[in-house]
Amino acid sequence: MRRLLFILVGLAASAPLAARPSVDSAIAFGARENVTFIALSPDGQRVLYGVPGETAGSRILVLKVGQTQPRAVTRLASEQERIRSCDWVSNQRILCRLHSIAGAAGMVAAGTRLVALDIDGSNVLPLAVGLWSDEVADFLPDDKPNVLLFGRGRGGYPAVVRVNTRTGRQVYVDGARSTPIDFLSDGRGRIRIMRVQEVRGTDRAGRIIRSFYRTAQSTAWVPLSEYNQQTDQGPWPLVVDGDSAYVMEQNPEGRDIVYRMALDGSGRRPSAL
Amino acid sequence: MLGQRDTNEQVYNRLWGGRVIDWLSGQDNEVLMEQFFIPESRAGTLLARDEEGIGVVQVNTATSRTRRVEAPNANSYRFVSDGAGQVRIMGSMPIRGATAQVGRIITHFYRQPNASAWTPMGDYDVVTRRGPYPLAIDGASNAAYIREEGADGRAQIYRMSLDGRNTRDLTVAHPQVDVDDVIRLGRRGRVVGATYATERRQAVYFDPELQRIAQQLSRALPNSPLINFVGASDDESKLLIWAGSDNDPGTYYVLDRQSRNLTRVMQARPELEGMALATVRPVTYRAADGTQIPAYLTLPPGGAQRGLPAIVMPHGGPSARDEWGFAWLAQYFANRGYAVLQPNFRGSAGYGSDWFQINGFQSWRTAIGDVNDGGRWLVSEGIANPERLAIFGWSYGGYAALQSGVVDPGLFRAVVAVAPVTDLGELRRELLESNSFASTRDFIGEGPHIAAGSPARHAATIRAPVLMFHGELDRNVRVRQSQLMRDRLRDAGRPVELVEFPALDHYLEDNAARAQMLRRSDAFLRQALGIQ
Repeated sequence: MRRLLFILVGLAASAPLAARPSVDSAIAFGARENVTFIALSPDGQRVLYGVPGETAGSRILVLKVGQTQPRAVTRLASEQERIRSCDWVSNQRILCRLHSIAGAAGMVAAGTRLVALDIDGSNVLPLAVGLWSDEVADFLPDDKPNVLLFGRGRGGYPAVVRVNTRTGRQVYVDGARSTPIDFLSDGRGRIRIMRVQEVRGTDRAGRIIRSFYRTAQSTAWVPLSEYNQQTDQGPWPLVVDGDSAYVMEQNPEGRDIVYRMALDGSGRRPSAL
Repeated sequence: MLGQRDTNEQVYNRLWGGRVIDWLSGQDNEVLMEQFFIPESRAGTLLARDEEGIGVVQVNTATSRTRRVEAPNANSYRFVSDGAGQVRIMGSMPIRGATAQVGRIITHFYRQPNASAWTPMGDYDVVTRRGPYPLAIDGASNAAYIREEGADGRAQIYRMSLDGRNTRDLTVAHPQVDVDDVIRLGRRGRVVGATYATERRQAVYFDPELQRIAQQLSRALPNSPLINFVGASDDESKLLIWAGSDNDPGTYYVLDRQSRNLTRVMQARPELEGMALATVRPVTYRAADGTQIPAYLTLPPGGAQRGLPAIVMPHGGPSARDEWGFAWLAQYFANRGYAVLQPNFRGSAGYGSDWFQINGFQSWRTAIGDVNDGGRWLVSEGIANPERLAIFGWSYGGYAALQSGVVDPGLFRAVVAVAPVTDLGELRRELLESNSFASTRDFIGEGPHIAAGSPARHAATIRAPVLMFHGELDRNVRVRQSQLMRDRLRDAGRPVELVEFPALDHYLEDNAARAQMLRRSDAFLRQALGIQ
């Protein structure tokens, strides 16, 4: 067998970290791996890699092979966005996969994006995301500058999206994998009622609209009512007010009445109009 | 925007940004990517987009010029390219009924070179993991590498010709373990070998020159028996290599094959430079029914070897296994003076279908029995002080840690669970919100094991103090699971603490949070086990 000699050259890239404090092993072992992804350029001259931030966050660096000082490409400071991986599309340009995660109303959602940029951080190919609807579900007065909008999730189902009205950033906050037609929020960002239309095997909407609610503490959907569109029979929740809902229903005389129903699991009707 | 542009008229938002399936080495800035095509709703025009599903586009990442390569298809699930721009395999996972739930079967099809017709390759069941699963295409030999369970219940990799004759050649099989995957190199994804893990991870290179380089590097680099080819320049004259071991988290190098220069580029964990790290020893122990259970034993570096405080650390998954190598959790506790045992209990993946059982949830009695027998073995071997035996687990491992306290309340004197499943019924219910409910429902199953195997329903049985950690944005296991366990333990008057991390998910990817989790766990264990 041909003998292969390796000539070890160069020093490792200097760790892009502050001076290590006197050893706290929880910090040393709890630090995420310093290389979250790594890729060699098509010409083999440069190494592209990701470095986690001190807490969350992440940075992309590029290092010329044989040198010790990497150059910054870009960074993501947000806690809820991560650079999952990058690879080269030419010797000057890279393509990265970003991951973002958000939660509200007891639901959690994640999304990904592909973004291309030059290794000096320029010529970022921007991502535009359109909105399906301009209907506001909740103005979130306690959570400025965010609003909840109706949108649609993957698969085409109606969903609720939280949008930062300053930055345009939006995150999926709620939805379902059946066929909801809409949601009612409590004015504080929590979705309490979901209305679901019965779908037949032929994928055509049926006559029955079922409503489900959640108690204040739970994420579970509890059946609330069944409304028949054709006969106009059955309770129809109109709006959520705090821990109860206003519900409209035809009384035996054929007139619509509105009553309040507690959403605490008791089914109590505190008062009727 | 890369690929299909988003518009105000599209009928739903884009959550998934797509996936590169071919880096088109040799064509600057061009890639092939899978993308979800979203239809539009527009009144009074015939120009609205109406196609829906995953398709493939070729995109110029500098100009965003986009060319459609594969039309979207509502049932398509994945596409596989040959590394030279030809999409040759399609996986289809039909949506069932009106609920848009995907099923559990992926049917793959291939096409012959320059043909457009698809030829069926077989069905893969994501629950039982049976059936052919194509991993990669070797365009040069017009063949696909396919993983499939053999007659002995272990996954093997074979090559199948994509010329219409479907000729099969067994490429790599192992009598004890599953062959996990092929090894691919560079942006072209050239298949250069296959890999499986026995006591250590092994690589079988089809490329003899790479085999020689791996062997020689493994000998030449001190204490680096594990060698991975991480990447390559397009002409493969320069290789990006990782080398490491159980007590070395690893260093990255670039090898110039012409000059033989090996340039060190960076360390994986510079924070641990100069710290004494523990060696990891593969062991086996006897379970109650006589079965030999493989495990890894990590002892404190340079300290006492017997009568130690000890931790059994079952892995997550459960469709996973632990391997020999650097593991930050086990190393931290070894550094703090504990012996750590990581068992590959029955229910673990990698050892064939018999070992996998039905899976770690449905076969929980066997899995948890093996975990607890690991604790008893540490004591019988004299490694652990029985008064100072604890259990620590993450995800399914957290489930195992809690359930071990239900099955055998006196064995472990303290329980730490990170992001644990605590109620199998609750887990099933949570999955209703995902579009893979059907397959996950079948994985968890139905029957008496749902109640019997849920630690939250037997909280009063647990005697050891419990410490839990959970990210509030955890999508794999909802934070509700830990909250439920905490509430039930409190109701039963048992000592419990739950630390919630508001902005983190299942993996706690935050250095400060991880440091806090480690420090708090160590302090909790020291107090519970009476360690100074």
